[in-house]
Amino acid sequence: MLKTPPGRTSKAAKAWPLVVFSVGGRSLAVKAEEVLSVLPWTDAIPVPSGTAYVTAVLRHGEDVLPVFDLAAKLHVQVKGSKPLCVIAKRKDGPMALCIDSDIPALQTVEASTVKPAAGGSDITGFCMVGAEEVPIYSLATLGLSVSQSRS
Amino acid sequence: MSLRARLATAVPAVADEQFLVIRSGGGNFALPSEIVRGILPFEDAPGTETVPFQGQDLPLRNLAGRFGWSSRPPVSETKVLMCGAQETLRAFVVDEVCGLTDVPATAIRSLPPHFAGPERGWFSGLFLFRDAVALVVQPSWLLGHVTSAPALVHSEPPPSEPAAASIVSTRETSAVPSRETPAVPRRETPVAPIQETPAAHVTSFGGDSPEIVELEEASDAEDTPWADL
Repeated sequence: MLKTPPGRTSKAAKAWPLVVFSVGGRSLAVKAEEVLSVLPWTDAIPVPSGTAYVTAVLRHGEDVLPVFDLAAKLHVQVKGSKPLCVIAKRKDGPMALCIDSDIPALQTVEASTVKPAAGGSDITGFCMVGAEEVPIYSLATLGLSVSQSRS
Repeated sequence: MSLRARLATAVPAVADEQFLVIRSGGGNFALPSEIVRGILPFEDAPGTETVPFQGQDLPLRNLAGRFGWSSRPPVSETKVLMCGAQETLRAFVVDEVCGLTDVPATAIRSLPPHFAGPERGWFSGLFLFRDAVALVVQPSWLLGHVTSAPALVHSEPPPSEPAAASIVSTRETSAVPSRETPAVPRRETPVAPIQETPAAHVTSFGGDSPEIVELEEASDAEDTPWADL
């Protein structure tokens, strides 16, 4: 019976696979487990809404997904002539985000190298991507902190 | 587009619900057909602030404005829609009347729970419509007391498609959405039985004086006078 050398499993469990992409030229990362898919962006359908940053839906075949305007939250404009769509995996159902046209990259970081972020925000930590410190956003809770702070 | 040219469904529906789909402010909205009382071309409205209907002068309001969206200048397709239930009557200016459509109840979806603001009271659901969606308007809210729309995240006309590098821009508001995933009913039942209107008469639009087509209930909308509009 093969045995994993002691310590290897614990090291692997502390590595975070991340998807790194950009919005408005700003790099950010999310946990790969929170990304269902990355697709070409199609035009969003506006919906009258009083929910911060959730003001449209997007049709993906027969599916209708809510759109979270991450660019507006970051006060930037999506860049590129062919933006992409990240479908986020969430407990309340999948949600679409428009990102820059640059192809996202996969990167694994050691959990021990992630700098923690202040509680109550959508950022769970910061990691180094090359020489750049990149925030790690939680797609699972994106937007909830805005509503909770106002409730 | 004639209302008689109804959108066909691929599969005969067991329990279809009938809606009048209209466009306003860049979005598609579906109104239960039973609350639609009359349709008038905007250019035939005698004034820009009120429209006479069934002995009342109904204040004109842009439907998009009801949701806090900016209204668009009237064009040839702009219509005035008279809606009502029981003794409540309202008149709304819409950009376009797309037509009647029968939608299986199973095809009507709830608004995604990510929408957690007042919009949950405005819309009872949505369904796929052409290459977009149509938002089913809650009759009770639409015909309720007409007040200023609450502060919305998006209060400007949505950009016309395509806009490959941009999505709907938003700004923070003082809206207080609840994120406790309220139990949203799939659909609300229509409002109480509607007071019968006088016998309908078919009129033609245009001419020297505006004529309002009054609607009557019919088992099949194709038989209604206003299906020929």
